[in-house]
Amino acid sequence: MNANPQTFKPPSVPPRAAESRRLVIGLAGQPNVGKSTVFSILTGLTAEVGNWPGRTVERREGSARIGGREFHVVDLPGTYSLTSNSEEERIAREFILRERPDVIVMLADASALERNLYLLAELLLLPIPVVLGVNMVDVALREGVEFDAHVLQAALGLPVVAMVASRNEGVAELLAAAAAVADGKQEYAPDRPEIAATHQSVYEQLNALIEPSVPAGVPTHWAALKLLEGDREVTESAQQWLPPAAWAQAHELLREHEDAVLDVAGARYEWIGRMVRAAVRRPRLGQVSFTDRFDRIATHPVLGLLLLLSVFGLVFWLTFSIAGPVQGWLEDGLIAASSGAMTAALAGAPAWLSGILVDGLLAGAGIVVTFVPILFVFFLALGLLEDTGYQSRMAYVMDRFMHRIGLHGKSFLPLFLGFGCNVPAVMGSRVIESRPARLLTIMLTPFVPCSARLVVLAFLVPLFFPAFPALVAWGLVVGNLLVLVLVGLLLDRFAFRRERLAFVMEMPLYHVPNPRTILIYALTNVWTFVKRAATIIVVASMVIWLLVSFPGESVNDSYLGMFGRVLEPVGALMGLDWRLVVATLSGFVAKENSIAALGIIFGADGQTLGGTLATVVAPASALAFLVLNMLFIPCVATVAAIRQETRSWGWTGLSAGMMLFSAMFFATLVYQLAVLLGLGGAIV
Amino acid sequence: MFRRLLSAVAAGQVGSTTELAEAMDASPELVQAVVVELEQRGLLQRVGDCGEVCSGCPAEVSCGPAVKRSAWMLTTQGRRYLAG
Repeated sequence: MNANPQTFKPPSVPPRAAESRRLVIGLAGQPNVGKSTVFSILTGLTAEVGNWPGRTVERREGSARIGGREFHVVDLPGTYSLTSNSEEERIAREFILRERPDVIVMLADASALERNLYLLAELLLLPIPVVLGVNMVDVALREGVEFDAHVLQAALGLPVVAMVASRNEGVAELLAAAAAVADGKQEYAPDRPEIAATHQSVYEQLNALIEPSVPAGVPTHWAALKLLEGDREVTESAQQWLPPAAWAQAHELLREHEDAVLDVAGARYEWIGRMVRAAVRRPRLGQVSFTDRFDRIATHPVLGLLLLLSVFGLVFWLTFSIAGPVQGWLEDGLIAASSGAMTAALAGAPAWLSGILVDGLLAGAGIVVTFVPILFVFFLALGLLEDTGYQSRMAYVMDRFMHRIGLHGKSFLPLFLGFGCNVPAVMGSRVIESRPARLLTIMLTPFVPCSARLVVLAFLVPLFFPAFPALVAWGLVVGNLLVLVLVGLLLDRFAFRRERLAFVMEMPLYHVPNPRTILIYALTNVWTFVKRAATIIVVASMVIWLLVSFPGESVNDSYLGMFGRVLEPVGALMGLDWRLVVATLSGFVAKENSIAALGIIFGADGQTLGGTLATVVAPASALAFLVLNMLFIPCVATVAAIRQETRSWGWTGLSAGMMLFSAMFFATLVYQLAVLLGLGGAIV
Repeated sequence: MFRRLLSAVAAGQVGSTTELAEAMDASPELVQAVVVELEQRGLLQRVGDCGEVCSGCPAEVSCGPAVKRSAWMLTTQGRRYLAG
């Protein structure tokens, strides 16, 4: 590493222009340091959520105007370092090297500076000035940790601002410091970590070797250090830009000094120790903080699990007891009224036009609108758990269970909420930083029986099996969960095992949440869903309406009916005729549609649905139908959410394909076993 | 830092991260962060759970959840690095 502190040279912009130009700020930091709070304070509702080009990681950016100066703030993914171990780390460093923001504002947790400053040690190697915001000083003080910003600033040689972002304290000062550094008004002479003496000469040799060939924009000393660290991406690219002879020399040097990476990292910790020694004073031994006391329960193997289940029960109950009535009101009031008004307005129009607009377009839009209350309450609860610091404990407690099927501790959160609705569950997977664990969670989420599927189950099981409905329903749910575990084990073993990263859990101190941060978090996420998923849902609803309504007037004569007949041979394996196949297919729009479709198909002759089903569907076929519906491709809203979160039709297709295969495989298995047990054959 | 910590652990006279921190003139938090880092890099290995031994230990408070109730030993890779 650079042994000598260097004074940062600001870009050569004339002074007046420099002071009026818009500054681009990259907001960096580890997870759980209050980055979201600072970002939302700075950008408010100007924040836009997208994805980093070609990546599935969320990119948030927005504008801020403070003291007449405009700032463009880009929220970088939360990372622990800048090595190419994860997609987030690659994104953060690519942004800095390629987009060249004017300043990097790095946030750190006052009570965990020793862990947070590792990222700073890496940022200081890049050619952009850094300003450090030390957040949550109030929480640290309550825990007995005293922090002196002036001492740390003097040690680091860069601006350090003490902050309590949840109370909006220090945020304006942080931005002012960033502007002062960018404009060259404040001295910037950081003390950078030095490489251990044992490998200093190797570093210098490597530096000299690569200097003539390093691509423009990439600092030579940074590339040399990354090569010593064994950074996969830099090593691969160096093979391209270094002449073969130079690469051979460099490769030999690196091979001889494979342990240099440890000296590089070790030197960074030495540097951290030096920086914080004078600036941080810790409590004496024997003092027990609130976080310590509460963590004795929250991270306890048994009590922690009980607390977690209670908290989740509460989140689950709140989400559906608050959002449920609003959802009902929207369905019965707004959507039904709009439907009535639109039907009346289209009284003179052709039937197909009225049908596609009312039953296709409006019904699709209705699905989107009715999801909004559930998503909003869910994200409020999620934001609250994250902002208090408790979410990390939940993941810690659950990790030992989830790791057995290759999942992250945080996967429990979306999977559990999948019992309510798979859509927020899929979206909730974004709390998981590791992409392989996030993808695996998304792939498994549709296997969690959502409330709509449970409603279908609760409605149909008593009709098919009036003698012992509870036993059948329980067996189906347990069987469904066993399939989830089985698929998780298989995916982990064959698809994700090599990609999974080690699990390191950051445990921030508990703190009072910021309502504004939570509200903006919820609004941004709901708006993202509406903006992206709405189109897919509305279009799919209209297409399915067309398939059900044409060419004949009844379902029997529709394209979907014809399609069902084509699929009849496949259905026969499961003991299902075309009518049950069509009922299953109609559940793609919304799972409850299966009941409506059965009502139309079997209840047409004036009998009740229950009476008809009990007489015409044999128990073996009924069981197979229920298994098929429990595991069948999720509803269109969930598919849209999967597409949105994975940003890939490939993963979306794989998810649907997996569900379809599992549904047919297990339905066939159950049917054949039931026939063997003498539970009857196909439909009468 | 890595070598100093590995040497201290290899010496076998350290009972807690606090004592380790005192021996290295560093904060227990820094030692804890380095222990986690060394475990991830495969130089240190968690060898067991001290269980109830932690109760009443003066260092209990300073041990974070990742390190609490754990004993550590050098791996082959750790010993090789220290010898290098």
